[in-house]
Amino acid sequence: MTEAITAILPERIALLGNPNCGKTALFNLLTGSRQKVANYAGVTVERKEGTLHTAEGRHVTVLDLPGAYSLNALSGDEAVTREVITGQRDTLPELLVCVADATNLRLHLRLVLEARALGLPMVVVLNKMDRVKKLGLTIDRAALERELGVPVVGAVSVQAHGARELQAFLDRPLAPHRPPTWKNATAETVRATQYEAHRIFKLAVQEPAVDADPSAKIDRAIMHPVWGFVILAIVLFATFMAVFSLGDVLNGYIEDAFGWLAGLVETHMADGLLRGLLVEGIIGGIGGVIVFLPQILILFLFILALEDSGYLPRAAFLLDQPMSKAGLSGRSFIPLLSSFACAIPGIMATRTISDPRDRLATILIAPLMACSARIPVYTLIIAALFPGEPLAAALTMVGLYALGVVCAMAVAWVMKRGHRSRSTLLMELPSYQWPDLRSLAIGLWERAMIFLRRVGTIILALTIVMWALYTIPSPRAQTGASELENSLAGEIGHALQHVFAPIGFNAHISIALVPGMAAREVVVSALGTAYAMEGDEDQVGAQLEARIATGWSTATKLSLLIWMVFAPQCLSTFIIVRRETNSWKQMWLMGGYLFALAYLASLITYHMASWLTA
Amino acid sequence: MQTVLTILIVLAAVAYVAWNYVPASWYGAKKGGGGSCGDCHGCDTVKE
Repeated sequence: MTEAITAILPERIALLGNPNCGKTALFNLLTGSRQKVANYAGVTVERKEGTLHTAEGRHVTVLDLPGAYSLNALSGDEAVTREVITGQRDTLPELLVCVADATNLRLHLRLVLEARALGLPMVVVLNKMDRVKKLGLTIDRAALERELGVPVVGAVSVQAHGARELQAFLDRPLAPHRPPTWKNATAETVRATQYEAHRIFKLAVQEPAVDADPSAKIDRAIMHPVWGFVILAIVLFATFMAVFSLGDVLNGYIEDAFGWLAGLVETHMADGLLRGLLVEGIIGGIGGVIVFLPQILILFLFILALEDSGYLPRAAFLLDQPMSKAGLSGRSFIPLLSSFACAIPGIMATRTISDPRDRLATILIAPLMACSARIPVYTLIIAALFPGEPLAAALTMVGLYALGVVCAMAVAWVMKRGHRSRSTLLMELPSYQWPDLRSLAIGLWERAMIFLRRVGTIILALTIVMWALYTIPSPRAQTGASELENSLAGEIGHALQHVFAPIGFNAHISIALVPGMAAREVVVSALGTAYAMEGDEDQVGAQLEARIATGWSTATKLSLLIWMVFAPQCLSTFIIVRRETNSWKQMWLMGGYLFALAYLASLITYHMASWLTA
Repeated sequence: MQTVLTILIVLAAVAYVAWNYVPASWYGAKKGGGGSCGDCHGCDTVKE
């Protein structure tokens, strides 16, 4: 027995639509949120919730759902969408806001028809209306409303007032309805829905005689089987060249600022423990990490611009063939790409992979993609290896990223031996567009805030703990040893040396790796603190790179770089692998193989480099 | 005075790290709010 719901005004609405139709951009516009958006499919893999205020001042809860091509879910994220709008997960929304890309209604109308069949109150939002005119399309909204039997409004989700029509609609009362009914579609229903979508499209949309979208022409070069890879290599090289040459100029100013700050504290504060904590611990440690903010922002400026332009899904398409040789499908590309920022959203994004074996292999190799937390460590050591040589530095950085990717493919190949992926990559390629400057600015601001928040919280806390460990004397102090060697940290570092000495790590490096398991950047701040305590307090701002350049052998520098490429990632990655695979075994398998790989690769690197440079 | 302040700051830092990285079940508590899976680089996971 079902009960009729008689809500008069909607208080809970759900945004539903095909991938990359602009749902999240609309969600951000409606709720003032700043969820991640990009010009490719599969960015949202969980439902997000926010609140909007209608023109009449009512509060409405808005759910942003993962994109789905159909309600007959194939992958985990599509299943989330269906479960939410059929009330199998959470409270049933009172209104479905079905977002469709107005420039691609031929494809998007099918989901609109499937959603309409559920029987919930619904409004169709034709998004990207600004591009309709540019592409020479004509959409008869009255015909669409008549044929679909639901209201249709227009929107431009990337413009400040682009959702006015929808906001006005939300203050209108809804007709009573019954809870939705859902059953899996048969082949016949799917065909009938497709025919109906085609019929409505022909009635309501007029296409231009000549295609005004230049994407196909650009794709002839970008997607070329040979030139495509050359262009991809140039793009990557240009990105890292900018990171080193521009970043170096900017971080000099930050180094100077921290040096000035250290001098200020020393001048105005009496000698004591707190002054030591401030100058050597906090300024020496945190300053060593913050100095890399320009590099991180330059890298993300390039990534965000490539995302927004529509280039990244093309790169996925290009890489589908090499990935299939490793036994993976191109569907693994977006999760692996997300892992370059952080392995956690990358591992979560594997929910879009329907083949369980493909998904597990992708989860286990995601930590091999160089996450942004490694940038400070890479940059510090590379700068010490190649001082004043941005070309060599950029090539080394590209090499480290490439090493992670190649080894990830090799590991996937081993894992998938005898079980090659049978799923083919079907990916909608978005039209090219100029990156939106406002979106880029917001993206960079968000990135800067994330980094600074990390620096101000966990990195700061761990740096203070490291300073304390270096300051508290060990109960087993030895005569003749330095104060640092006789500290608790010195004691721990000495114990760890039994494990790490064969790969060339000194006590400072060995102990810095421990808090580095919580946040990779702490490796830099811990080294910054240790060398600040060892060295002259006057040079706190700039001495870390110089100490590494002169104090470590080339073999040690290379060994640590290789260690950072392969070593098990932060604890958060372990936890998310456990959660996503629902298996302790898989989590330990990942940690074990990464540790073994890192140790072996560093051992070989250290001994080969020592032999070559002897 | 400097020593007392330093000790307080260090204790606060230790507590912060423990709160974020020691599983809640180890001290028999259920954590409220975020932080249960540490702090990554902008992951906006809905915490379970």
